[in-house]
Amino acid sequence: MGFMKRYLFSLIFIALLMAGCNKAKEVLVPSAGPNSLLKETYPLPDTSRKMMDGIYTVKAGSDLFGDQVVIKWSRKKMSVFCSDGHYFVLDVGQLDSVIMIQGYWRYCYNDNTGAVSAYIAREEGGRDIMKADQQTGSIIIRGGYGSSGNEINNSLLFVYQRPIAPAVLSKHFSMLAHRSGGRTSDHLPVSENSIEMINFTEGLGSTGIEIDVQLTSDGIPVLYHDGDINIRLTQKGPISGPINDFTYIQLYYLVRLIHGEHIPRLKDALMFVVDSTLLTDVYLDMKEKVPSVSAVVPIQKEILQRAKDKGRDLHIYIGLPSQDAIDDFMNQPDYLNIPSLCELSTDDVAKVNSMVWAPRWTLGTQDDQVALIHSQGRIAWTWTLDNVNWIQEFINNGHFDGILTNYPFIVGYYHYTREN
Amino acid sequence: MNLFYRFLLIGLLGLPGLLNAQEKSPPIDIGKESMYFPHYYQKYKLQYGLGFYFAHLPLDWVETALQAPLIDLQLSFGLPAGFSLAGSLNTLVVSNQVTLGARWNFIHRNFSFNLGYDLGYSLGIMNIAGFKNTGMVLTHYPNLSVGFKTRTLAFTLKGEALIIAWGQMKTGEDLMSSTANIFDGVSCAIYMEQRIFRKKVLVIGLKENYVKYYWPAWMVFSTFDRFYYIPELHLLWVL
Repeated sequence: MGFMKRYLFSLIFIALLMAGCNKAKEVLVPSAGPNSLLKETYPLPDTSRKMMDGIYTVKAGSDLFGDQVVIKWSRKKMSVFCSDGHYFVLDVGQLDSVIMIQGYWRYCYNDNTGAVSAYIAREEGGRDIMKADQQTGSIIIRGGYGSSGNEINNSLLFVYQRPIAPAVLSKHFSMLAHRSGGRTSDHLPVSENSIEMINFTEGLGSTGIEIDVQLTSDGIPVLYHDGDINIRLTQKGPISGPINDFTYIQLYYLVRLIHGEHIPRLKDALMFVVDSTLLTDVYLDMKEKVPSVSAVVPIQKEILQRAKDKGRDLHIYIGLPSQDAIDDFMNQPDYLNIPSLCELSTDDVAKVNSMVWAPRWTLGTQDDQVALIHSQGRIAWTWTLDNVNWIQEFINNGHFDGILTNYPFIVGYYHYTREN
Repeated sequence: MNLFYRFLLIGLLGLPGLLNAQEKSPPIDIGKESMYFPHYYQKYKLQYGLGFYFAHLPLDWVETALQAPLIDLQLSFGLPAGFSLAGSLNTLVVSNQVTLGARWNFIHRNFSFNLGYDLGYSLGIMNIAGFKNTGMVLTHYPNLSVGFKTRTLAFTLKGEALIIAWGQMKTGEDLMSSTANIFDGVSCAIYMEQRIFRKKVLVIGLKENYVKYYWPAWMVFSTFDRFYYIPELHLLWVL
């Protein structure tokens, strides 16, 4: 009996040990730091940046990055999108028409990453880019990349193949990034549902964001996904339990997100979207523990007016994920004119006059339903699509107007390589 | 307290009573009545056990402490020359797996070992709550077990490799995605078996999977290409 008990306790001890093994991991983003080549360079004007956008053939580095990549500038970063989930986030500067490029690559499905350093010689496209000469023959990007730390030990060579098709650029296809731009579980350098993530996400190729909205105990809408304050999303601190039990001031002073950021108020986050980004779509995912639409509608209205005053093309939709949310929404005066997004049936979409229908991707491309939505003058997005094969399928064979994903660079690759 | 730890506690509190009961029954050779302990199974006789197990899924996948017990049916069938067949059926309703394999067993005094291979077919179907998906996976499980027994207890350490031979997922009406020949990871388990009364044996097992894909959780559609530790706690009643 005693012998049995000893072993039983040992087994239970081992079980507890094993259950506690999933330790959070941080991925260090390679950085040139103070030795950056870019510190002596000057930023590129917008016209030059646009010239670099396009489809490139990979002449060196194809083992890792595939035969073809897309280069696309966002507000302040140059990004490279690969077909399989690799991506680059790059800083660029120029000196005497030589374009200097520095940053890192990352593979989205695991933690593989490495430094990247490259340049475009004056004669290999640098001069044409700086002149914004549309007749440029070619752009050749030469450089190297590493596979650990800041080492660079592999050759990289991209050759300009063609521009992104004008029909693709003129089409409003939304590439919405999940959790304000990316998930904490993807080991990104900033936390999900933070203003820092909103600032970061355009470099990943997103043109819009989905953010999770919850109410504090004093009725302030904030960005947070889980129902409770926990160590998956936040640093260890003095409080835990349901987020709705705490006031905003308590959350501000007592909770830090996993990378040290504050839980932002919805209003602050949306102000940042308007004032400091070029994002065009915001999907407010209402985590309806308590009815919260009435607290969100005035903020939505105020921010949309602010965007209009600034000439920004911005859409903010209140997400309706459940019948309870629809009931809460329909209690609002003039709800038919409040921009909303409905995740339920197309009948529900019509009932609340949602501009966007957003079904789960697991139901397939639903071509007939999407056609019906289009015939009503509405748009259709699907969520949350992360598998590269499915993304390719939905873009090539589906008719959705946007995809919500944790990996907007994959959506970007398959969208921008379309012929029309 | 989440279900995993609650289950551990129940096992811990309930077992001493059962252990007292077994001491009043006449002795048996635990090695011959156990399910996992490698031994020469009685020829052409089917032995089976029924139980359940809990798995603790990574938070990266489920984002919350989500657990559900899987029903676990284990089968052994004795063959001549130390060989045996092994089979299992595990189900979570929306996620199911059947395995079939063979073992070669060898015994030396209180020690024993076996070498085996199983082929698993898992099938998941979800047609509710915004899902219209079917997933199928065929997995190779080469395995090795080492056993040690005392007068009343049998311990088995089992190691296993998981290689996904083929997998397919269907979404909506017609979209398909396939995969093949992927090294999925390894698992290591320890099982402790003891007679409770008559010839009835209770198995407590702890299994640690170190895998990228875990079939019971197919419906979370994880895209991570990382290895995760997934512990399982097993309770099986050998009937």
